Amino acid sequence: MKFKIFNLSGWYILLILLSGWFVTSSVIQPLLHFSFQQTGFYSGWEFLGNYSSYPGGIADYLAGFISQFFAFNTLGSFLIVAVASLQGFIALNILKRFSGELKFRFTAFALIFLFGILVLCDYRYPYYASIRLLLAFLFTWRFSVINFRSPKASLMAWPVLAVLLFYLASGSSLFVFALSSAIIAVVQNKQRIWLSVIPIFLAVSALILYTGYKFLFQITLKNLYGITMVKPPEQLAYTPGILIYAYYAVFPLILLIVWIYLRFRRTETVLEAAPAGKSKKSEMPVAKIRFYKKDLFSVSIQLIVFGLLGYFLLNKYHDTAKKKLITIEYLAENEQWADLLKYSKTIDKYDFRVNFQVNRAHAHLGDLSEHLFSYPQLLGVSGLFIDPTTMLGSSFVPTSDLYFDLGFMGESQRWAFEAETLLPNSPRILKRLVMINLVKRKYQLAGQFLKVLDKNLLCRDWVSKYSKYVSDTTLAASDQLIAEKRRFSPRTELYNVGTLQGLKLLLETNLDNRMAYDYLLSFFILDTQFPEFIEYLKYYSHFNLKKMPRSWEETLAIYIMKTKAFPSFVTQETISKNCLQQFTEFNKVVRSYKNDLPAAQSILHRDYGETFWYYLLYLNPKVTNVLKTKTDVR
Amino acid sequence: MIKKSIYLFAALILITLNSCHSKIENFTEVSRLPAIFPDYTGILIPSNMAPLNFTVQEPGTEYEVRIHTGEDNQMVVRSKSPSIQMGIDSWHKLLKKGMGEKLFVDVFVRQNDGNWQKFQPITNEISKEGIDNHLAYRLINTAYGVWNNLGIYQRNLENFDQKPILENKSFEYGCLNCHSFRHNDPNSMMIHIRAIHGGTIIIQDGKLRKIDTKNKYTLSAGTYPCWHPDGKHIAYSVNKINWHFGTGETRMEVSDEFSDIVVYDIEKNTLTTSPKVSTASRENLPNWSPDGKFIYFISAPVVTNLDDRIQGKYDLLRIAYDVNTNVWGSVDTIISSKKIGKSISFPKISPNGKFLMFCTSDNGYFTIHHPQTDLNLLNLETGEYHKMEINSPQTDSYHCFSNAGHWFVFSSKRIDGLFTRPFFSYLDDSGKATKPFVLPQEDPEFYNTFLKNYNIPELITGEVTVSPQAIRDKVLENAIAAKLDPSVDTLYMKSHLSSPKK
Repeated sequence: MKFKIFNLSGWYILLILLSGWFVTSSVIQPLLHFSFQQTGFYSGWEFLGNYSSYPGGIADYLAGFISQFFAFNTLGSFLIVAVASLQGFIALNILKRFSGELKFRFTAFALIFLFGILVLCDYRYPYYASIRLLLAFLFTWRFSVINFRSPKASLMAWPVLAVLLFYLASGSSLFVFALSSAIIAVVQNKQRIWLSVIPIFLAVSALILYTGYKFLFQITLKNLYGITMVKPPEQLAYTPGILIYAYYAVFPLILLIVWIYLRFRRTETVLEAAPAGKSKKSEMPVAKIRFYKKDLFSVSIQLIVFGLLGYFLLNKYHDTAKKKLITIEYLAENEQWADLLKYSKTIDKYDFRVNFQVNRAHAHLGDLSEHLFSYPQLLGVSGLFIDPTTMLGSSFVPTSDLYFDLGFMGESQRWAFEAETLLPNSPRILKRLVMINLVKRKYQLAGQFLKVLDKNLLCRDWVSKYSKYVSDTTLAASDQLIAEKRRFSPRTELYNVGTLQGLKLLLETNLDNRMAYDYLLSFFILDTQFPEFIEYLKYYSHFNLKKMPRSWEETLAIYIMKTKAFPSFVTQETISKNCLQQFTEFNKVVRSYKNDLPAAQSILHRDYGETFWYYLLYLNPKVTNVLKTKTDVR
Repeated sequence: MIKKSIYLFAALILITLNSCHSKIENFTEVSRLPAIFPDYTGILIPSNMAPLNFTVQEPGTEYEVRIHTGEDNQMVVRSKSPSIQMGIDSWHKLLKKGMGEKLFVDVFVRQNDGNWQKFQPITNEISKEGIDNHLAYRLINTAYGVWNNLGIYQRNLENFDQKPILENKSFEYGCLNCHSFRHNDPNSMMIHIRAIHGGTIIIQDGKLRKIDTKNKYTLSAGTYPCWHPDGKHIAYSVNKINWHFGTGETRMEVSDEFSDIVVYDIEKNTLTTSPKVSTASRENLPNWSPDGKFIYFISAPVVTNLDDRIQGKYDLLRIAYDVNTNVWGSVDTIISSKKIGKSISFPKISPNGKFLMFCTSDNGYFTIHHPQTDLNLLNLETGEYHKMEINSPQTDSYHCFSNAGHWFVFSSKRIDGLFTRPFFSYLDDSGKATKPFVLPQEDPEFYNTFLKNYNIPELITGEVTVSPQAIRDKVLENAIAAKLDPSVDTLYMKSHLSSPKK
């Protein structure tokens, strides 16, 4: 039976594509890229205009169009695989044109495809880098076709292609194109003179880049030649690593290797030329091929090596911890509070963002005071409100969200505008601004943000719903969420309102604001402000609680122990006997270690790790001094 | 080939037929003005202004707008959409021919039943006087703590072309602000650069220099600038600025703990000041008189606490200063904040020296965030002042006179209460201003989706011809330190800066 290697390779390639798609959709998850980078793509000339003013902008625009579909995990994975495989297929086509059916062409495809997928292991990866490289591949392919037909014409076409590619995909793609096309020209045209195109193409590329920088574009030189651009916001600042360099270098390197290989093979062919008169194929004796020279073996070996390499690189470069943090943020964005709490248990290492969102999740589920210490509150109040002095770009949206939850529209809007400045295309932030302005009855402004969002393909349904609120303002008034925020939002004009004053202001505005009340008491507890805690605890009866939440009870127990008296509004029934009994036990353990706290920590952590008492002795930042360095909030 | 020609011919006929609309003869009259956006009704139009494109906010299936000064001077725009966009050349021909005349805009709207409605004609007027043909401004987001893409741009007011003067993406996203021109001259300009590659860029007749205006005897680098008419000196305030975030309609307040005034000599590269403008009070926002003999500025009392600082009110003062002899005169109070019960800011004198336009607000000087900020006009000949008729319930703030002095531009948030847009008005010799209109855009819906603010609009008489790349190259260089004028009383300045109040 005659075995066709193309079919075998084809099946293997299909296998690779399916594996790539599976890894992308289940491990990398484009949805998380979408959520983290807050991708927003808008129709209209104005949006396109922003991208047309700098080299590489058009590729960025295309990348924006494609990556908006990362919102759908399956479709996003398909698109990523499609782009990576298209690069691989272009490479195969070019290789086939000048070197025939090479045995290791499977590896060429697989390597390009592999790096095309693996670069997405970093959730800050700007997808435009893939599209820019794709354009470099396409231009190289075009050059190879022209060169194959007419080498002289290709030399005429090259500068045009180079300038066009520079505008479409910027400097790094231009250099990939220059090097690749130069090697292709050398391989396809055997005269020695063609070797000179390598330095010439590279020099002309450098000249195009410098001319663009010096006379045409307002962009830094680094952003012209770099693979990715250095630009705000900080939270999306991608640091190019070995993967992306390998991704950009792999194709020219393959061409270089093929060139060297072909030179070697040609020499071999000359040495082992068949004798004259035996040129007919049918007359050739069938030589016995050793097993390792068989295509099946060679391709299988390539597949195995590729599989192992892929597995190794995926393990090495996929940041699981970062993925978990992004997942937490994604669940918070979608208000999947129960799932968030469940998922947070899979994260072993403390993180202030998880701390912040876990608190928020509990508050939304109405049990923040009950479960305040279920997550280690290592940062004290900075786990409730991310410290604004750190001015972390990544904290702007969550902070705006929290203030919106609390009903503080002024603060929510302030942080939303900060976030909008850093991520001007983020639909999430624009939606937040719409909601804030609906609450504030600024319908015209809400309408303006809605008009922008309407240009986003994925926001049409949302826009359709809230546009009605602008045209018929009674709908906004009857919306439960908007109505509640209107009741809670402060109207007093104050400057420099800190977190604590803000919470008090919220309660002064409306005592029904249970979430603000929970946050305020949690603030006092975490900041160990006992007199203030007691002062505000007296309002607890307003909420008709059948049982006092655990963190309040535990704090109250300490207060009672310190003052040796119950506050006037607290009866013996208010605080459970179980709590007082536990507190007595806790103190007994401490005393049994003769107040040697380090020695008692392990046993106390086991039995009382999720109590205020344990927090007070071991986790409180006033004890640990962790906030002095602020390393945990960075 | 013949087939192709037939198709082409047919297409041409179709296009021609489509563009030749019959005159609307039958219509019902509506006895009110049509609702249009932006509001271009009852205004005076500079004879060289770009087309005032607008959207007809009336329901309909087709729209026709006839713009005319008379039967022999008109243009017609018919559109299936309510967006009315006019041809630039036809518009300018119409304005040129109709200078000094009334400009009528007849709006026809076709109803679902096919019948046309005609609204009362909008009546505007074409000024005989043109406006400076470019406007420079910074485009910024509505944030206070961070920035991203920033740029200073110039817009040709005769069409819709906008070009960058400098964008921060060309120098690692540093901050750029406070662009200023000498008497609307695009060839004499300065820009401050902050955070990254900091310094002050001064451009004069194509020559660029980068200066560090911070000196150990001054509070800070130069902040709010004003060019002397001779083009050789720039007055600056030097400020210690703080930001305060509000819970109400004033979302942010900017206040100065301290501030003084200095004058920079461009040729000598020296900074000078005087104990008269570097006092414990807070001197700020200097502005030269057109003859260059006086500096008008604002001043607020010394700060005793944070509340004072935020709620403090500024007076309008002036001081004589001779740039040739470097001699300072005495300080006069022009308008006292106590007298008017408002804080004064941004004094700007008309080029003919007759009027001084200024802002008033309840407190402070950073008026752009104060919804109650209004523009006022002081007649320098009579000493009378009044709140201008052009104000709106929203912020009306930073203003700039044209070179000839009648047209002026100012910043206003009147459209939506949030985003700052440039508005134009004409000030006649009696001090009366015409109804303001917003900077026209090619797409009349532009302001409904544009989420950036026009900051510091400055009218200029032509295009800034120095390329953004040349300015960027200068930004990337090291700044030359400004020297202190030897006549400055350094002992006083030292004690002034080190006193507990400073």
